[in-house]
Amino acid sequence: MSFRVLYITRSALLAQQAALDITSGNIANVNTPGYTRRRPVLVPIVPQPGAQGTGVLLLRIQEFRARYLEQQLRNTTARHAAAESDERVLQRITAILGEPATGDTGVAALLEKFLDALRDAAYNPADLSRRQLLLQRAEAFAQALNRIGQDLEQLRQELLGQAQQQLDALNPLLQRLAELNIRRASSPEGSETAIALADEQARLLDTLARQLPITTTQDERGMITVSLAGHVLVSGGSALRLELRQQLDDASGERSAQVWLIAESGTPIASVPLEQGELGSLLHHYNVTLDGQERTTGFSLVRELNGWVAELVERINAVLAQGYGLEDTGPTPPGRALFQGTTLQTVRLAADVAADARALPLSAAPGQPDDGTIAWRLLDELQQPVLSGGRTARGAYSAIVTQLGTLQAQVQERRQWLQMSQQQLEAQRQALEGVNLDEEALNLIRYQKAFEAAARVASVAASLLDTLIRMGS
Amino acid sequence: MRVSWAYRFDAATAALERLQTQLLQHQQRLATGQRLQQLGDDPAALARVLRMDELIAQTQRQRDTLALLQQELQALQLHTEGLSDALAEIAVLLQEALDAKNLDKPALIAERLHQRLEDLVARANAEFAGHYLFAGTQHEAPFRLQRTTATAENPSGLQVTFAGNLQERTAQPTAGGSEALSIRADELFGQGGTELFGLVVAAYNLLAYRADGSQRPPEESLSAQEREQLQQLIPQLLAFRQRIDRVTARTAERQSRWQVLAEQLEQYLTQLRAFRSADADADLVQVALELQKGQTALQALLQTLSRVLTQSLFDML
Repeated sequence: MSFRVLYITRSALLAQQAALDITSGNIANVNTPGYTRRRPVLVPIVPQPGAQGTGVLLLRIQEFRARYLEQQLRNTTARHAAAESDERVLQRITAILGEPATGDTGVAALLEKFLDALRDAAYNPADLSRRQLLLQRAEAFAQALNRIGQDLEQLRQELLGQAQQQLDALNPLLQRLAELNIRRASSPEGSETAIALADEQARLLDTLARQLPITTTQDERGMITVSLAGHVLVSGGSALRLELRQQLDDASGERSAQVWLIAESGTPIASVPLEQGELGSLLHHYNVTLDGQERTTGFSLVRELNGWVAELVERINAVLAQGYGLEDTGPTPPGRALFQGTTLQTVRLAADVAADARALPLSAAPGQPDDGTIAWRLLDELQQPVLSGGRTARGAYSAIVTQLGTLQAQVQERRQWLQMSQQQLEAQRQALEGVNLDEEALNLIRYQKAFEAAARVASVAASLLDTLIRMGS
Repeated sequence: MRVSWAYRFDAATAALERLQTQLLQHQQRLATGQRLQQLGDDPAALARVLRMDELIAQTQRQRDTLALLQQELQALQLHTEGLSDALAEIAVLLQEALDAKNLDKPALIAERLHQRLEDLVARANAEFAGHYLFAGTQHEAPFRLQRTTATAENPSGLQVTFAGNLQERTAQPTAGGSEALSIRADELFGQGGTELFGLVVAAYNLLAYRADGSQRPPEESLSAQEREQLQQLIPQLLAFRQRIDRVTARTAERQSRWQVLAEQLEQYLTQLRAFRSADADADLVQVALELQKGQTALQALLQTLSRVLTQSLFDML
């Protein structure tokens, strides 16, 4: 009688127990982000020549990782995160503009009120109360533009702050990826440690992909190389640092922000253009959408609004420069303006006119207080398509709002499409990597029963041994 | 397809989010009556709505301007009719002075004529909404009746002066179209805006003063020459009345033309509002149905989730 049965049973008990551990680990981490399910790989122990029966061995732990999907998923994540961020920023912008406006709110409504007051003053230009009302409406219009300009600039600075915060959070993450590379290389393939490290790598890369459009490669030792726009960010045990730097163009006054790669020595390597990822979106809106000095052909809301304000102010002032105020008697018009400043933030009432409503130049000739020719002319001009692009004063503003609406619609559509795409990819990834509780319950029963059977075999073996011992005695 | 435990919940969360977002949109549309809640909801419709808003605001302003100007035209018509009546009364008064029954009353009639002159000047200073209707582009009472130094030609020294100007006050009721709003004083009252008043003063002088410039005593009759002179003044005054009547008729014609324009604008506004409504307003019946559909879908989803998500093999073990 051989005692191999006890060795075989022992190996079975150990193997089934390990399998139960792995299953319970799967169940415990069913909701852990980035956790990939594991399976025990059991193999028979090759017996000695002439030996009967064989034990079982837990050869390794099998991990389920959809590597072919991960890069695709991260690309989609970067684009989806950018679209989500675009959508949030555009919603903030439309809230600042108060569009779509209802009732008496919004820039367009204030412009209309100004035109109504202009009509009333044109009809009765000698009436001081109507002149005063016209000034109040003009001031309300200018103040609304100032508020929008300030709020948009505040939002721009807020976006820069967010970008800085996110970048600050990314540097430790890159460092951690480099550390994981070292640990992963020294962990035996198929071990729980190697799989856990791979899970953490994947989780960090997923987080990174939300911010930056990264590409990754993995070598046979499990070390990940992370690249960004053709530059290697993480390789082996070393990682570059990311830094947000602002650049001022002296000629145009344009201030832009870029992400720079910084070597461990502190030497700047290159700036990287970011088109995707949340960080890319934030910097795009800082550098383009909300930059009044933007020179590229991209849609810059502030530049468009500033251009509209400048053209509007120029038109209004050009007409009023031909007019005379109530007290003007000279042969030539005094050339007074209604507004000064040519941007959202700087436009305001001209000081001399603001101080004295009688100075408003509404008449075409001196000493004719009831002549509102200039006011009528201005009213007509502001309702005619005289601004660039053949637009009226309000039409030009509407065109900007429509452009913003089109952009918002495109972003919404892109975000929804990418969200769907991301969900499909995530479903495929989860189909392979995710834990299924029913499956694990079955495995639990499977390994439990095997364990119980092995224990029963051990009990039988013990009984046999007992019989043998009694025979000997 | 293998479905992981976590993905069942992720998918359920995504489905819930989608349905709840749609429900919120429907609720907002029902609550506000607006189809376009965000700029990105329908950019093409948004562009049309913004254009309609601009056209509606412009047309409303034109309509309101026209209403304002029409009121002024009505006032103008009323006052020119009053001027015409006043002139008719003066002509009747002069006719009375020539009547055989009144040969001994020139001084008395002169006194009444003076009152008529004052009335005429007051009517010529008519104002509406802060404007003197016949002052041109000046902003003060244009006509003043004053007594200057007596001369052989004007023994009473009465004189009506014109402090306004002969500029036209213009307005632009429609885009690009400038219209003269005021009536020039010389159109109504002759050269320099005072010719008519000169005729009335001349008639007053004839009745109140003798040829030598002395004041006519009560009950002294007019001489044959004076009667002849007075007789000649009447058709001249009536010619002015005709001139004023022509202005009144022209004003009425403008009023009628503007009335047609106002009606056209009102009709246009109704059409613009209808166009705008088609894009901007929510179809409440449709939205209510969509909301109902969404609520049903949400209920079904919640019921499904409550059954499916709670089932696991562990419950059977």
